[in-house]
Amino acid sequence: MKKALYLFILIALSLLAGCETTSVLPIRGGSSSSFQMESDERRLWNRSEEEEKKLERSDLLCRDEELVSYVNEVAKKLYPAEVHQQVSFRIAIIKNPLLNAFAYPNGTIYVHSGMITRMENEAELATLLAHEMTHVTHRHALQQMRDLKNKAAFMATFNVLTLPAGVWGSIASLLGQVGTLAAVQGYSRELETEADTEGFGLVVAAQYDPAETGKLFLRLKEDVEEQKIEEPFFFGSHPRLQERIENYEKLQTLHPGKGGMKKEEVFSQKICALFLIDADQNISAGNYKIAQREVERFLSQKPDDAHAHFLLGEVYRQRNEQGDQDRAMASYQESIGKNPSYANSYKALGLLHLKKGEKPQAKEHLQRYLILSPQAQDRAYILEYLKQCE
Amino acid sequence: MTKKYWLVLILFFITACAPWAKVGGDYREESQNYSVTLPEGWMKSNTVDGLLVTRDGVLLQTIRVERFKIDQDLKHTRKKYSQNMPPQEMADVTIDNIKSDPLITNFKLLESSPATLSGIPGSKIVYEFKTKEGQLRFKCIHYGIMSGEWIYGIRYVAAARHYFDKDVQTFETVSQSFRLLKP
Repeated sequence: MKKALYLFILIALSLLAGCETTSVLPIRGGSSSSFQMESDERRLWNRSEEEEKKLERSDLLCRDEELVSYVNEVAKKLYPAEVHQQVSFRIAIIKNPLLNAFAYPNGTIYVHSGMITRMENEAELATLLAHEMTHVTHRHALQQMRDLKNKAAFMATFNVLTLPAGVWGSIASLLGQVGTLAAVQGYSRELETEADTEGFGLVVAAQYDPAETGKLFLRLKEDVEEQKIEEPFFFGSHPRLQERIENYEKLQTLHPGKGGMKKEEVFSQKICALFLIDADQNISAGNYKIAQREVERFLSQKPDDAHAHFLLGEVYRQRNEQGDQDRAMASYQESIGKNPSYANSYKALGLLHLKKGEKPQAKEHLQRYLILSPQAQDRAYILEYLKQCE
Repeated sequence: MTKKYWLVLILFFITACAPWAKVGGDYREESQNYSVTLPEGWMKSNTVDGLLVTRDGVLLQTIRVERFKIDQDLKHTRKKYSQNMPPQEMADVTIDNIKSDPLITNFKLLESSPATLSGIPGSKIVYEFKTKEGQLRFKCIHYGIMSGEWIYGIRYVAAARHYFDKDVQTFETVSQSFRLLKP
């Protein structure tokens, strides 16, 4: 009995010695609560900056200045100027159709284009940004890092101290290691809930409509279920989305019928270019339904864009369901109608005519394609097809 | 005698388990239904599926031969190959699968053209990319054909600067030597 008591005290003391506190004060702004960075936090920021440099050097980031400045303006409205003085928030857009958004502890937030194109208005964008910005101001990355460090220290201590405890000690440590691994997946439920709650407060304080806050997550959940999306990312995982939806539903009950800004029109105008960037990638990935929705949203604002009509034609041609070939042909013709110099639609039409055995029309369109695009990468194929048309 | 026996046995196991083995000359892969002539002095990996050879290291240049079922799900796109698909459409699926790989950035298609492999009409794709982690630019040539229910591909990837040009002719010789054992 005495032996067990000593063992317990020894474990407790070791844990206390090995653990760092995970609770840290949030960055609130103002001179009275100026933010003091801790040494391990400095290392975390340095690592973040290194990782960001890699992203900056790639072609992954959206360079549309107007769009990037717009999302940064939305972020600015969410926190008072004093907070922005202590953390320089910067929002960047990654051209990628995955449902993802993440924040580095130093205030840089990356939002995937796929996430933005699922949104309907500025209030939804503000909700997502407020959630991510809360991860920064509440120093969640630091808390998580310390938590993991403590768990690793715990496991090391636990393994050594429980060795004499026989078979039960081994089993306990084995289960503990699996549990530790599971804990590595994203922020804890508590931290995410804090980001939801604090973020919701910011959105309401910025005069956005609270009723809009959970809609994005609801739509994402439908997408994940309908498209059977298997993404190992936070916002792409079904249980995490369900948590968000439930949290926002609860939070909305605090402000029933309050109303506020939605800013649908300005949002749709500002993000318009993103629809085609994302649609193009979704066509490559074979996500035709999402791509079609994106092109149609773009066309609702810019109906005269030849490239958009071409992409819609590509959705139909590649999806190849009943009636799709005719729809594709109509879209390519619409594209040429809007811009008679748009080369890709001539090629697409030529290939469709060739498949139908309509050789004279095929020849005419393919020849036109090569005239408009003499350096085409697929020139050799086109010359082969033209031979078949003779 | 027993000591010698053990020494031979240990040497045998060390050689058999080594991750890399020197290759050169005719190489037959009966289970995958192809043969190919490999360059002298290159090393073959024993730890990956399919055939992967390199001379200076996998980050500098590799030649890879692989075979998979036509209806197999692709890793990065939902698109699929289908029987009787013309070579250009087959190449488009291959390109879309590469383009949708989240670990690849700065993808640039340089050429997509008809080609033959083992006498079968197929496609040739030439492209460049960077990996998400590093800043090294790679260049790649990919030949692909369809035979029965299988897709065969032979691919050369090398660091675009210096290494690609150095071994591109070697790769072309290897790809020309590629034969299906039972067409």
